[in-house]
Amino acid sequence: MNPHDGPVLASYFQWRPDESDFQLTQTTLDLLLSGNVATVRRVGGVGAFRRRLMEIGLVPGTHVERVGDTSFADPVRFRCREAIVALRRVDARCVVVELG
Amino acid sequence: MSAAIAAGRILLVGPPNAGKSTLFNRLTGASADTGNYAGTTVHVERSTLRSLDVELPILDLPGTSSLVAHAADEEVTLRALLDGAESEHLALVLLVLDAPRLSRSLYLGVQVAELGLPMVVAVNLMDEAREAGRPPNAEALREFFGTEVVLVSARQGEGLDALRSTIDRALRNPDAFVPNVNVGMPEATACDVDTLRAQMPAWARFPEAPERERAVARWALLSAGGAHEAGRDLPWALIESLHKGAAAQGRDLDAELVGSRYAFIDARLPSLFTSMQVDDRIRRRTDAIDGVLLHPVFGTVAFLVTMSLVFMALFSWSEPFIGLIEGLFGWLGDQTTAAFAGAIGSGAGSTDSLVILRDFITQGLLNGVGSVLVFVPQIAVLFFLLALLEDCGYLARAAALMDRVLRLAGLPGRAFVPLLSGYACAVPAILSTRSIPRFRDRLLTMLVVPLTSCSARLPVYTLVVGALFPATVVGWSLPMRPVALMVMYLFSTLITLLAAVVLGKLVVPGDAIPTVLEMPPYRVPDARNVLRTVVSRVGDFLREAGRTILVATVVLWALLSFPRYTPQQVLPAEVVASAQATGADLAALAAPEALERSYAGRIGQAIEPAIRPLGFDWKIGVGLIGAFAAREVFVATLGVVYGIEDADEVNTGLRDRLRAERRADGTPQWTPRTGMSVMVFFALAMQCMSTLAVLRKETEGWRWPIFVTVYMSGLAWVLSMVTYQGLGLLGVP
Repeated sequence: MNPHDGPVLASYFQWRPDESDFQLTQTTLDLLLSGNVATVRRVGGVGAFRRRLMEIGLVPGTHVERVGDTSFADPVRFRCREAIVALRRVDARCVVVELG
Repeated sequence: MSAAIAAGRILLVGPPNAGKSTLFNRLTGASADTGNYAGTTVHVERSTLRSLDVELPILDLPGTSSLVAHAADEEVTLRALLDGAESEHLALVLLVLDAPRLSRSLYLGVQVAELGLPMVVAVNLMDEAREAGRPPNAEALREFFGTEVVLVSARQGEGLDALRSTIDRALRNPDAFVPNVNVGMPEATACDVDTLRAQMPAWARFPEAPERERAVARWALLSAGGAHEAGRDLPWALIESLHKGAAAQGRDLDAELVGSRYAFIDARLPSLFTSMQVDDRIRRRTDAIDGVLLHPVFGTVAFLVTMSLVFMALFSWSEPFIGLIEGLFGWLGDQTTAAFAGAIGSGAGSTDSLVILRDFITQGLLNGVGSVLVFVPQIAVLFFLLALLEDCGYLARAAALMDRVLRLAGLPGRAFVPLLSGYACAVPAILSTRSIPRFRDRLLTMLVVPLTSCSARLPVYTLVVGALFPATVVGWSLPMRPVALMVMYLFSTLITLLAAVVLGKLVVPGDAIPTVLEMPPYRVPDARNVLRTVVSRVGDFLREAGRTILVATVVLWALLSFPRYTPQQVLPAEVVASAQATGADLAALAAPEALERSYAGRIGQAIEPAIRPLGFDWKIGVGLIGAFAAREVFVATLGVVYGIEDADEVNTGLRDRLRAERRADGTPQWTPRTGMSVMVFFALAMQCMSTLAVLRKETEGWRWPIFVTVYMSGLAWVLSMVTYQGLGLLGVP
C-alpha cells in the first residue's frame, strides 16, 4: 500500500489488528491522566525494586486509577485495590498499563 | 472443662493503617512499654493481654504490608513469628486485617497463614467497610483461612468481647486454630521452592511442618536482591541461580510467587463480602480533601501553616513548662544550699566534704535530673501534635508533599518533621524519626538532624554577635544581629542537606526500592491513641536516655569542680587579705582560678594547641567542655572562666569582659574573626550529650553516636579553621 494514499489516520484504521497494535493502547502508569482507569499489563524494573511494586498489588490484571497529583506534581496518587498510594513518577514509569 | 492456657506470647501482625495500635490499646488497656525487638533497632510495643486467667505478653509488631524483607529491619516480623525463643515461645498470632482494603491486607494475611502457626484473624475497621458498602463476611473468611475470624471495629469497641473469648479459646486449644491456606503454584515454581528449602539454614528448617519450610523458602526467594542485609545466612548463591535459571526458561519467579498469591486472593475476593452495595462516599470525601490539601497552592499553604504551628507549639507551648521545671529545680537547689548552710556554718563534721556533698546534690544530681526533665515538655508537645496529625491522616500527605524536595538530599518525605523539630531541639527530633519506616532512611535522618540549628545555639550566637559585631552591617543600615542570625540558620540548613547528600552516598547507601507512600483515609483522631503515644514516648525517653544524661551531667560536674581548692590555695595572700577586710565573696573570687586548675581546665589547656588554629584559647576550650552539658552552658562556663557573676548572653558584664580579654601578646582574643569561628564551630560540632544519649538509644549501641561525634566535630574543626584563617588572610581583624 502506498503510504501517500489517503490520510494517515484512515490507513491506520484500515490495518488489520495484529500483535503490535495492542501496544498502541498501552502506556505507562505515570502517563495516565487524573481519573483514568487502567489495567496493569507488565511490571518493569528488576529485583527488589520490581518485587516491591508487585507486592503492593500492581500485578498484571489489577485495575489502577490515577487519582491526582501532590502539591509539587510528584509523587502521583493512585488508587489500587481500594488503597491510595503515592508513587514517584520515575517509579510509576516502570509499570505498563492498558487503558480501560 | 477447658484446657489450661500454655505460656507464651501473642504477636500482633498487620498492615499499616489498619488500626492495629488502636486494637492493641483496647485489648491491653494498661500502659505499654516500647522497646527494641531483641538485637534490632525495630521498636515493638509490649503489654499484657488481660481478661484471661493468666496474663500473657502481647507484642505489637510494626505495621507491614508484606513479610518480604529487603533490609535487616524488615525481617523482624518473620523472625518474631519463627523465633521459638526458649523463654517465650509463640502462643498465638493475632492477624489484623484492614476491612476496607481487604485484598491488600490479605496479601500479608496469606503470607502469615502459610506459616501454619496458631492464628486468630481480627478484621478491623468494620465501621469504615460498612460505610463503603463492602463489609467482609466472617464465615467466608473463616473458610478462606481455615481458622477463626472475628469482625471488629477497635475504635467503636465493637466485637472486642468476641475477639477476647476467641483468643481465650485459641490459647487453650491452639492446634484447632492452625490456618490452612494453600496457594497453588505452577509446578516449576514449586520445584524451585523445594530445591531451596533443602538448602535453608537451621532456623528455617521445621521437620514437623514441611509447609512452613516451603513458606520460608518462598520468603527467601522474594527477599533476594536489595541490600542483602536481610537474612545474612541465607544461601544467596542458590537463590540467585534459581532466579537466573527460571529466567533462562522464560519464567519469572517473582511474578509467579507474588502473582499466584494475588490470583488466589482475587479469585476468592468477590465471595468474601456480605454485600457489595458499593458506596463511594468515603472515597469521594477523601479525594475531595486531598484535592485541597494536595493542591499546588492551597496544599502548600496548608502545609506551611501546619508546620509553622507545629514549630511554634514546640517553642512556645513547652516554654512555660520548661520555665516551671527550671524554676522548681532552682528552688530545690536553693533549699538544699540553705539546709546545708546551717551544718556548714556550725562547723559540724568536715566542712569541705559537706561542701562537696552540697555541690554534688545541687550541681550534679538536681542539675542532672533537671536537665533530663527539661526535655519532657518538648517531647510531649511534639508527639502530641504528631500523633494527632498521623491519626487524622495528614502526616502521610505531608510526607508525600515533601518527598519531591527532600529527595534531592536523598531523604524521605517523612524526614521533614524531624528536620524541622531539630531547629527547636535535636532530642525530640531524633525521637520523632520513628515514623520513618525504613531503618536506612531513619538512620540518615538521625545522622544529620543534630546539624540543624537548635535553640540551644541561639544564646551563643547572641553573645558573640552582641559582644563582637558592629550594630549594623558595615556601610548599610541593616541591623547586624538579625542578619547574622539569618546567615547562621541558612548556613546550618545548607550544611544539613549537603551532609545528607554525602552521608547518603558514602555511609548509608540506599538501595533501589520504589517509594510507596500509603495514604490512609482521613479519620477523626483517636484520643486514647494520641495520649498513649505521648505517655509512651515520654516514658521511653526518661527510662532509656534519662539515665545516660544524668550520669553525663554528674561526670561533667566532677570535671569542672575537681580537684578542689580553697580560695587560700589559689589566690595571692594579699587578695585574700583585702577580700576578708572588705567582706567580698572569697569563693566567687577564687572560682576562675579553681576552674583553671580543675580537670576541665587542664583538658582545656591540653587541647589548646589543637584549637589554636581556630582562634580559640584554653578558656574557650573550657567553655567547649562545659557546652557538652548543653550548648547554652558555654555562656555560663565562660562567665565562670572570666569571673563574671550571673553571666548570660545579654547582660553587658560578660560582653565587656570578652572585648577586654587579651592574648599573651596583647592583641584582643575576641575579635569578629574569633566570633565567626566560634559560631561556625557551634553550628557544626557535636557538643550535646543528650543528643548522643538519644542517638545511642535509637540505634542500639555506641557505633552511630561515635560516628556522629567524629564527623560533626571534624567538620566543625575544619570549617572553623578555614573561617578563622581565611578571614585572617582577608585582613579581617
